[in-house]
Parts: sequence; C-alpha cells; structure tokens
Amino acid sequence: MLEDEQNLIARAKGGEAEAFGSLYDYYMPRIYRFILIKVSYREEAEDLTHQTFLKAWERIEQFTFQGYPFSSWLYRIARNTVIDHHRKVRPQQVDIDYVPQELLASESSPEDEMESRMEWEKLLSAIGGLKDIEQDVLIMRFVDEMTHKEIAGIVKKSEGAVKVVQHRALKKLREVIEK
Amino acid sequence: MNERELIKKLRALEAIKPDAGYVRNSRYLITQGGMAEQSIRQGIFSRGLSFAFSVALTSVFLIAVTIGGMTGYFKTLFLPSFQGVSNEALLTEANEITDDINIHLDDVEYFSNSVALAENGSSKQPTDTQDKGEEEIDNLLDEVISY
Repeated sequence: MLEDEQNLIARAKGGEAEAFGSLYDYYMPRIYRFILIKVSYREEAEDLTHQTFLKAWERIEQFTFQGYPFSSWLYRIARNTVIDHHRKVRPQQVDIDYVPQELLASESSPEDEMESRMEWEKLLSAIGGLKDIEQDVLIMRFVDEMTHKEIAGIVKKSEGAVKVVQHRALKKLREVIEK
Repeated sequence: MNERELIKKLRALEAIKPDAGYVRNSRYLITQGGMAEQSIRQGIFSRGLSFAFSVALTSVFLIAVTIGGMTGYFKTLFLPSFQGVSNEALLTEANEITDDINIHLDDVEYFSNSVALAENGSSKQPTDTQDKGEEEIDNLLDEVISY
C-alpha cells in the first residue's frame, strides 16, 4: 500500500490532479500488467489501462474506504473495463510476435530467444483460455503477489472460494501447457 | 512442468512494464486533460449547436427558394404573361381574328350554295331536251299511225 495513501485519496477527491497523479504513478504499472496478461496485445492494454485510470479519476468521489486498499477499487474498474472490451471485441489468439520484449531480455542467441518466445506464447495463450475469474485470481495471486483476502475483496468472493478457483486454474493451466 | 515451475513462470510475468512514453502521455492526458476535456466537450456542444442552427437556416432558405420557384413555374405554366404586352390588346386582336374567321366561313358557305345551285341548274337542262325529243317522237308516231 502506498504511504500516505488516505491523504492522497482525500486530496484527489478534492480535485487535486497531482494527488491523483501520485496514485497513478504507483498503481499504473500493476494495472497495466494485469490488463496486458488478460488481453495479450500492448496497444489494447495501453488503451484499456488509460480508460481504467480515466474512469477512476472521474469517479474518485465515489470511492469510500471499506477495509481494502485503493488498489482493490482500481482492479475492479480494470476487470470491468476488460469485460466490457471483450463484449465488443472477441479475445484474440496470442501472436508470438506480441510476447512482451521484457520477458525475453535475458535470452542471448536468436535460437534461445525463439524458444523462449514459443514458451511464453504457450503460457499466455493458456492463460487466455481460462475463465475471467481464473485469470484474475492467478494474476493477482502470483504476478501481483496479493493475499487471498485482498483478492476476495476485489472479485467479491470468500477467501475459501478464491483458493478453490486458484487450485482449479493452476490445474487447468498445467493440463493445457503439457498437451 | 510441475506446479512450482508454473508458479515461478507466472511470477516472471512481473517483468512486464509499460512504455515510458505511453505512461507520460497517459498521465498528462488524465491529470492535466480534465479541464481540456471539459473545454473540448463544451466546444463540441457549441459546435453542434451552431451546426444545428446552420442546418436549420439553410433548410428554411431552401424551402423558401423551392416554394418561390414552384410558384413561379406554375404561374408561367398556367397564366402566361409577357412584359410590354397588355391583356386588352391581346383580347382585341383575338376578337379580330375570330371575326376574320367568321367572315371566311360566311364566304365559304356562300360559295358552297352557289355551286349547289349551279349544279342543280345544269342537271335540269338535259331533262327538258329529253322531254322535247320524246314529244317529237310521239308526234311522229301519231303521224305514222294516222297513215
């Protein structure tokens, strides 16, 4: 959680753009990553991330602290934005050329890079084939390292239900990758 | 791939980062663009209003031109009028033409009657001659019988 977050939120609610800018700086990389893993394409992810923060800025007055960090509220907006987007545009198959470059940074030879690309393309495609709730739980739990309680607050399920979803999602993912 | 390896792979996705240029632009548009966006919305509204007004004004003008044009066209079609020509003069000329036509018709009737009379006269002459010839033949036959 961001230091002095409550104060920043209060100032942002008062219309102070720079306070919202600080919240943006802290949470934007996480929200962007969450969206990119779900949609697979950088341009789409950039557009949807922008929409997410624009909505958050427009609706900041509606935010009330209910025991969950500000990030939970942002993730909820991001989830709904992606769901709305997928209602209009069907999720696309992951293209090997669209594997994020930062995942390949450590690869040396072109052969190694190609092999790495294929592995990531397989994993991202497998994630894309999961249900929305399964994708969300896996990304929040293992990529963003959130607690089950935080995830439960975002997806509006009990902690036990989140653990069950996580278990099922990991099992499905392994099955798809091992095919 | 076992579960631990899979989780490790998922954690490696943390390396994904947004483009710095995109972050700068997006942040600027959101935090500084609020007022600009409002102005843009107001601009769009006022532009929309002025566009609607222009369309309404143009429509009224076109309707006026259309009505005027149609009226002129039908007036010309049904009530021809020429500049420099009075209706009274035209009426007088038309009456004179009608009188001329009547005179010519009278002449035609007169000549028709004359021709009919002439034809009747010429058709009666051969009949009188024929009657005289027959009378002479009768007299001659009577003389022959008396002998």
